[in-house]
Amino acid sequence: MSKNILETQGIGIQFGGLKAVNNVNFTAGEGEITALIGPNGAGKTTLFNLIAGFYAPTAGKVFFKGEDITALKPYQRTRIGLARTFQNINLFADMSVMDNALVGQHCRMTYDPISAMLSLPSKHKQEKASRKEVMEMLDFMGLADVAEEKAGSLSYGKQKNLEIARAMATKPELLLLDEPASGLNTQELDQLSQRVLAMRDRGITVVLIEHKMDVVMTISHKVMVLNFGETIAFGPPETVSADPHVIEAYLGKEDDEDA
Amino acid sequence: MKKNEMTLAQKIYRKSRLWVILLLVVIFPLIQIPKNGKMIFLADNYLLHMANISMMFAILTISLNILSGFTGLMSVGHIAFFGIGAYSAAILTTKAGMPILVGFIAAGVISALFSLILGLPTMRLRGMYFSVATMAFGEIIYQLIKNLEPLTGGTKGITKIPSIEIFGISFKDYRNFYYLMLLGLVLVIVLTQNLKNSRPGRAMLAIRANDIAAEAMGVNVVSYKLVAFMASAFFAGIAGAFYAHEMRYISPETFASVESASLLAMMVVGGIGSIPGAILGGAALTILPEVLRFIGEFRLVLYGAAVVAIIIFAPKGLGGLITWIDETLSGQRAKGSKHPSEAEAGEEAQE
Repeated sequence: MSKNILETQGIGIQFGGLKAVNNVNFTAGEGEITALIGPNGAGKTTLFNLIAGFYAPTAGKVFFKGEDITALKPYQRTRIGLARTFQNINLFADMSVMDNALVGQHCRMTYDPISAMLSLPSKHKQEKASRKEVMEMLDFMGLADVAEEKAGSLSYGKQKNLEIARAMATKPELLLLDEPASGLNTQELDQLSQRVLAMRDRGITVVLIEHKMDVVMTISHKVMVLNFGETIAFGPPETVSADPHVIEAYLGKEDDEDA
Repeated sequence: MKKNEMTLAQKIYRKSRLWVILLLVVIFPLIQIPKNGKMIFLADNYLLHMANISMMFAILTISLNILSGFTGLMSVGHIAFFGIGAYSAAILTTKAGMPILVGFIAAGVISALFSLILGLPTMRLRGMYFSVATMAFGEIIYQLIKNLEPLTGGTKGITKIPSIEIFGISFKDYRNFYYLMLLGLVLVIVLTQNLKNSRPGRAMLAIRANDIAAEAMGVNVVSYKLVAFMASAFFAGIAGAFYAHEMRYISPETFASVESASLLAMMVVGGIGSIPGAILGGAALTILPEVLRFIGEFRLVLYGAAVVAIIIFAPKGLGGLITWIDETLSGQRAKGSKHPSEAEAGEEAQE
């Protein structure tokens, strides 16, 4: 077992009387792919929002690289290497593909607004390095040829890829992917699996929320199943898929829905 | 979409367009025409004064664009920063006897400080709530200007503001001031354009487009809203200093909070977020009421109708129209693209 880069200890959040996430102990092993599954409304995205800092937990703590980050704001978490994508595409629609990804490089550049206005050498140096970096990401996600087009004009599949490229541009150590496969066709799905594996090979730890079981089962090291905000199973995919609770709560129903 | 091969004419156009515009605005005050057997300037003092005020409003509209166009924070009290700048420059150069340059810098800095004071508690407010706060601020500043008599001269205003003199050259003359104003405008354009294509500029555009995603990308949303607010107020303050030294007399009515609405109209008519649009919007809405003066009271109705017409027929403003013409002339426009207003209408219908 590798050491855990991310760990939540008894994390929970309550909205009014509803415990959306309750006492979840989630871990992500460094350099591994961990999946988060569960029926709609199980609390998967809520758990992501707790990990990324968009919600403040009402119980428990979040540890990243061994440090308690529970009090950090989302942008501070991005700075220390924790990036995320959104389930519903959240791009900057009027900005070019390149500029979208360059926003991802925001926290890897340091020059201030005054140097920006005066176009000082520090700006040129950092911009050049960032553009090179971003171009590599766009290339990796198959977007290099549309770099100058507006993000809002891309096809759905490409917008989903840009979501990932933009998050990758923040140079994360841990990447949270919220349903990256939803709405993709079979070919795009295949490419996505390959890319997630390639991210892992680059040393990025990946946590993904996914509904497509075949994707989850083939690429994940570990799978957590949530239902009504609580963990009902957490372990290697083979073990989890054989767990009777999981079959009852999720897999059986999923088959009906897919049909 | 592949860019079309450019023809020679298109290449020449692309290379020369900025220089041609610059040349035209530089020689405009120098053109002479014969009249009654004598050569006189085409641009008389009235025309030059209008040009100066237009350029000043262009700076002001650009400054509003940094806050509202780039960052998406709608300010309905922006005229207050213009007023703070004008009064700072006027008070420092008349009552305190400071050099004009000090007045100019102070105009920008004091305006920016006021934006910081207003911004710290209001930057977490969203949308309408921020707008209402700026509206209240605009009214407060107007009342302060009107009532702080010992400092601002109250309703009588401040007179005898010195005209600018640099290295022995006097800018009292409207023609000379024109060049100073032009230099100021070009500087503001360059600085704003540099800002737009940079790390902080992209952060601002990202905040307008989607502040949650911006935060997720590591942008400190609150502090970049403040940066935008302060940069915006700084330039508005500088525009105010120009105003004070061009008019050489200022009084509270210029800075009444309703004037903020004219600024918003200039930005919208120019096209939100567009720098060329801000220049055109500022100039068009300064000149339009003057052109319509001959029809008397009725001019305000026509002015309003003209603003509405521009918004309907050019939804992306005059800036959008300029982009469209520019792309057509330089051959950058993809074949089959429609006029911007038609394209917009089509998109809206789909939604």
